[in-house]
Amino acid sequence: MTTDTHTITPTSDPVRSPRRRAGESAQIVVFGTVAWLGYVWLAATIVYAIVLACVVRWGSLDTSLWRPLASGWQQYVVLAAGVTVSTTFLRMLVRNGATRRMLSIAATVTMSAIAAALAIWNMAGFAIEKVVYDANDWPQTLPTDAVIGWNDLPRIALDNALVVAVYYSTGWIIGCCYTRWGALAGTALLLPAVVPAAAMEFLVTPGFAGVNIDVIASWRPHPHPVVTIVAGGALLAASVYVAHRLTRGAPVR
Amino acid sequence: MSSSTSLTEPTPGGHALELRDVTVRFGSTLAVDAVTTTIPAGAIVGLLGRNGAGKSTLLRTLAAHRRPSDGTVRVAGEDPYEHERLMADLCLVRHDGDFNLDVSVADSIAIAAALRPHWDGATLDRLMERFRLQSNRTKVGALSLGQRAALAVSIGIATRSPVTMFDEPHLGLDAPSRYAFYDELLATYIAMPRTIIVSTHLIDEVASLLEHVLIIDRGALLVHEPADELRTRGLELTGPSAAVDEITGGMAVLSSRTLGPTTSAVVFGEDHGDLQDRAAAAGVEVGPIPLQDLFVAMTSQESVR
Repeated sequence: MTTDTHTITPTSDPVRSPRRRAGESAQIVVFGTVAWLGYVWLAATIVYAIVLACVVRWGSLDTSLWRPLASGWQQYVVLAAGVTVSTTFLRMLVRNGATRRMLSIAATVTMSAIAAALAIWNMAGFAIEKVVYDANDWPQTLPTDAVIGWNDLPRIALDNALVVAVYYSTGWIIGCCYTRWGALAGTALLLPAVVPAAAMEFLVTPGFAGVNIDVIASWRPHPHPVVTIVAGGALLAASVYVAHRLTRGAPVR
Repeated sequence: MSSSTSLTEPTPGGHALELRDVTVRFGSTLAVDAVTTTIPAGAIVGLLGRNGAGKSTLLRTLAAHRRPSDGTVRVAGEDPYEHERLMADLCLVRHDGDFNLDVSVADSIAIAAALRPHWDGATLDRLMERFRLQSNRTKVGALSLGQRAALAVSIGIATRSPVTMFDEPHLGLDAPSRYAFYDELLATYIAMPRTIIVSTHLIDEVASLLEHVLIIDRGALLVHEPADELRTRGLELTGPSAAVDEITGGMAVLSSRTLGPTTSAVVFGEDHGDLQDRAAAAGVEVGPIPLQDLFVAMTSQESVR
């Protein structure tokens, strides 16, 4: 065996301190998630734009198209994104020397970024649709028979942000349960794992986000924004805490 | 890294890695059975064992990829699990690289470069060239098994982690690539000594590199010794069956083969005393045994006679 010698100078690189690596971890998880979620949002926007353009050209409407075509199912995609915290990023980061705590912080940052982005995207979708509907004198009605007004848009953003965030954390919890305890126990824990997502749907305005079942959405009360913010915020914090705790003990398989 | 925390400096106990009764269970399966040992800082250690012996599980536990079911792991005297600095200093390279196959080669490298505190891009570039790899947008899943293995060991060496572990790196690497890997491993070790653990079956290929040898079988640690000492402890005796049997009586015989009137026996012990003289008098030849043969003898038998 021949041996070449190479000069390698050990360095202590201050830019790769734990804090710096936590930041790098967050970037990896945010971009790694948005990289594919972005395509979903783009596809939904394009499909919606095409359908809306066809309707404007050849027909008429009295219900929101944005809600069923683009907005109403995003939380389920985000749920899948939450699952990837343990199925993809746990291995990717820990194998490269990051701690599970760094991963949890990165996932929390990702959750916040996705929730904010989808809140803006949803609000913008409803707003653009409202402009089009108003121009054609169509009512922008939801499945709950509510007609969306301009002053509803901030509440739409708030509700969507909370629902999207809690769905992400729910997916994160589900993934951790499977990673820690295997397929059988993971499946058995599905029901308790989705409790935060189900509970959040009852803390937001019917029709704006969450519950898609008309019969439920039509009879339940509209919570006051303060109740939504306080109770929804507490629920989200609790689910994120559970996800953090589960991540800390998750093995890299 | 400060001198007080450097793994290349001896810890107060004089060892970089310390395992105490480390046990790992998967349900009713015992993967690692109460392993207790210490691995000195800055040594190149061979972790030898048959398939399913528990090597990979032990390495994953050392790398803080999982907690042991029982027992303790200490790196530089501290628990590495969730330890921000120590986890960054521990690098486990699995034979397939354990990559996300949907991620490009360039991104896989970028992730390691971003998270590894001692990353050396120049070394990575040199290794990529030597292994004929390119850092591009090709997905890792599109690489051959050999290319993936070469990428994995390149990244592993370029991390310059104070504790770098290679789990069966020979799988997937062809012979020229394996020797290139051994060359580079030794070269970077000389340039920057660190603790290196290599789990392998191809013992003869790495035997000259190893300073310490751990042999694990069915989860239990059979041997942990300096490689040179281990080599002197195994001897092969060949001669008339009756004479061989007489000389090896009371000794630990790892294996024995008889062909007609001739028997060849591998013995293992700390002090062979006047074995050479007695063998010569009885017409029995005594010779050293390669590490590979010693490993095979120790792990292929049910129990030592």
